Amino acid sequence: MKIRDSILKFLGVLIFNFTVWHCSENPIQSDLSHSTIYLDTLTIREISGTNYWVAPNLGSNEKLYLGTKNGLNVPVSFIEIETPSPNYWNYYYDSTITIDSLHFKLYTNDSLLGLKEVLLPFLYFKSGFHFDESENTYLDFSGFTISDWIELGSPRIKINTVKDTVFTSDDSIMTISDNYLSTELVWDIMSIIDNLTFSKNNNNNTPLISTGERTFAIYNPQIDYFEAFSEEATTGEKDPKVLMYYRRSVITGDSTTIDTTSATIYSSGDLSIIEPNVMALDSTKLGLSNGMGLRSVMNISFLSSSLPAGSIIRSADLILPIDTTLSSPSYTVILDPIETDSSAIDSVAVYEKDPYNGIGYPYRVSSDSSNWRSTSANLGWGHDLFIISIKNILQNIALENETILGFKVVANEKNDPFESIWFDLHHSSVHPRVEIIYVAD
Amino acid sequence: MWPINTIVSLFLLLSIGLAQGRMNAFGLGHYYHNQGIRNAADGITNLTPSFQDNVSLSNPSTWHNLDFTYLSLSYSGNNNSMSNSTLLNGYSSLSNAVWIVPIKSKSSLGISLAPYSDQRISVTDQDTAVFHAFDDTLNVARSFDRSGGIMSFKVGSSYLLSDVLSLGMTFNILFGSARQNEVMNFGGSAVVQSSRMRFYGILNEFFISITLRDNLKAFSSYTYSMKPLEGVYEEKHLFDDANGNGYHDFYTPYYDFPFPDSVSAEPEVRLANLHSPIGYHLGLSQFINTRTSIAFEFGVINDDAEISDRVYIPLDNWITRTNTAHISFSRYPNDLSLNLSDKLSFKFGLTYYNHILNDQTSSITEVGGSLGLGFKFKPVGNQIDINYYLGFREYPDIADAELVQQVQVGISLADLWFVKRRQK
Repeated sequence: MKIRDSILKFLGVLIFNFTVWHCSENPIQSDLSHSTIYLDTLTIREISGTNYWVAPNLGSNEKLYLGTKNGLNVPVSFIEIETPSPNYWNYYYDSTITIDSLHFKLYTNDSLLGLKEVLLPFLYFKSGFHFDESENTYLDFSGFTISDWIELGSPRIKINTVKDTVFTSDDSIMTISDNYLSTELVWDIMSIIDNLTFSKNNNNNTPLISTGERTFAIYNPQIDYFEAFSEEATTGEKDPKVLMYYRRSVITGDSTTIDTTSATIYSSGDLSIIEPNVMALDSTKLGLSNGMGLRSVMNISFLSSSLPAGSIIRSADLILPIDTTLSSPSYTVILDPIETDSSAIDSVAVYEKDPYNGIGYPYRVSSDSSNWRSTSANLGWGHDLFIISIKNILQNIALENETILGFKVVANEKNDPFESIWFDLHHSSVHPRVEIIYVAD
Repeated sequence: MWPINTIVSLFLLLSIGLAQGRMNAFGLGHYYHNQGIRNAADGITNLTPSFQDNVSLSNPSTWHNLDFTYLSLSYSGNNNSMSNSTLLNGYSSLSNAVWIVPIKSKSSLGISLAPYSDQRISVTDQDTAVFHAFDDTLNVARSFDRSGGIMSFKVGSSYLLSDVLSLGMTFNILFGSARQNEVMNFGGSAVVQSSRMRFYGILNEFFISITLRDNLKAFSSYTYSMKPLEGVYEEKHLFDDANGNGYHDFYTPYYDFPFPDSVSAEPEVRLANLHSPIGYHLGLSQFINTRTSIAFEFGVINDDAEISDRVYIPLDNWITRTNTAHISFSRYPNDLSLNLSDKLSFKFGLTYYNHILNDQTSSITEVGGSLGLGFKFKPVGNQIDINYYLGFREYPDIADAELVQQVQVGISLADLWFVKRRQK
């Protein structure tokens, strides 16, 4: 015990001493140029690519189209109306409910639509018609005819605005201006309520839970060009929809209360059918277009041995000169390393499905025009070098974690399908290249 | 009374602070035997007695002269500063713990634990390099951080051959580990090369004490490497330290690149002969009177190390030969007196170090002096010591001189151990 007490007393003294002792750390400075790690660069110029065609699908696009633009034609667009919960369609068979009106609505941001003399789309309906917005393409509707659809005519145009108001000195509200919000295209579809409320295989008058195949189409072969918001554009506000106004009678004792209200039934899927207009392409250029179904596959000569063993890539930018005379100034491009390739097996002019299967996350990368740069001799609208970072996949190739069959280059689905971008692989002064900055040991 | 756990926790907390001196950047770090005083009890000398009039805790050939079993602990606080700059580094740690059991005044057995090499260092490049990469101009700043060190666990023994001759030896096991980060900072983040090294080695020391005359004694030691220090080196993959915490991890806000699970470290490599000291020390102790002595020591230690290129040495140099010379004056307490002043011991010493570097053309020199005071209490001879060391160190590559200050505090507790008590 004496030893222990003595030790504790001693420690107490030490703690006091070293608490007041100044402890600090300042890095010393010296010449570290003999460091074993070094910074270096590598430029890869062996880049090649080819175009290929995949039947275009615009199911995830934020617009519905009709007509022709930039040589691409959209003959028809389909809109499927959902079976909501609660199922408002069954109100038709409810003796306490009276449906007063049924309207189909589309929205567009064309503020002049109601003011100018233009052709408008016609609405058609067909029950039992099914389509898959993520799968179907023009190839699935090669013999399509509108003749067996119910025509619902052209729409009524309604301009939605919001008033800009201020309080005046006498506390009254004064409207300064009307701000444009959207344009509504409204069709009265009350005439087909029987078709809407029966499912396709219903041969008696018993209401069924619908299978959801209430499909509308907008169609007008005479129309120049028209676009409206699809269900992907907003969270309901500007979606294609059916608006049902109805009255509900509630009998309580001797009295009957009639409640007038409405229900909104939204689109559950929509799809514009676009015809790609396949044409001969300049082999020196790589093109991307959602509407044409044009994609590219690119090969970059990079192997695990391209960098010293153990290197780390700080940056690896793929730089491609853009043909600004043909390309859209605002475009988002996706690069995805290819994992499998079935193009040789399914060799056709236009593939029904993309034969190149990408790895996706975490190597799939995208770049938009905010990342592009200008060459000193830029043409057109300034930024004429497409730049995208591919350091993650190159690093993992260097680490021998991945082996790839090239890169699939596609347009982002949100791009305007009628626009395209073209990379000039044989530009006279600017060569496509990958610029790599790396650190090695 | 404070709970022992609390005290230990505080003690550890005080010892953990990162710190360094410029010497830490040479070779495998700063060897503790090259920094001021080894322990509070012995003062500046290693061979010649200064703990008691015939005992040096660092010299096993004198251990059997102890009357009791001793447990001696020393704690040191160090301060390194450059004379012409604001650079200041301070650190504290346990400097020595030794337990010695004398056996019938003929022999002894002891063990000790002490730090051997301090590898903590943080160096930044004095220049920022400019690197032109494509259209960018990158400013590249290098730095190096290392932590860890080597510990020494000694088992020693002595034997009195005759009235004038005694022998001693220690079996010195070196062990430890270090972690180093070589950093290249550019473009907003740092690329880090991390590596680990585990150390293992065995040194042997032989000691001889000879009584030349009643008041004159000679001491010598011979050091050689039974198993030169070797290291198991593991180099991690380079990574981009996006989150700036120095570790290759997933922690937000930014994930380090590449992902830690996508890379693997290089296979471990055994690096031999990292430190292989061989040399001798000689000492002479002359009593002026019964309580006062003066001592001289000098020695030479060569390090036949061949440090692999894989080991990054921040200052790209290491010590291959150390010449030392010490002179000390000691006044011992009077064990028989009840006067308080007679229980005090006093030590004063001067030292000179000359470290020849690997390039054989440059050296580090250090001159210093120490002042120590001890207080002996209780009949068994418990002792508290405090020493202060002040040294000036000159380096070949900088004009600045380094000021070295060290305070050592120690306590030595004595007791009768292994004595059969008569049963009542």
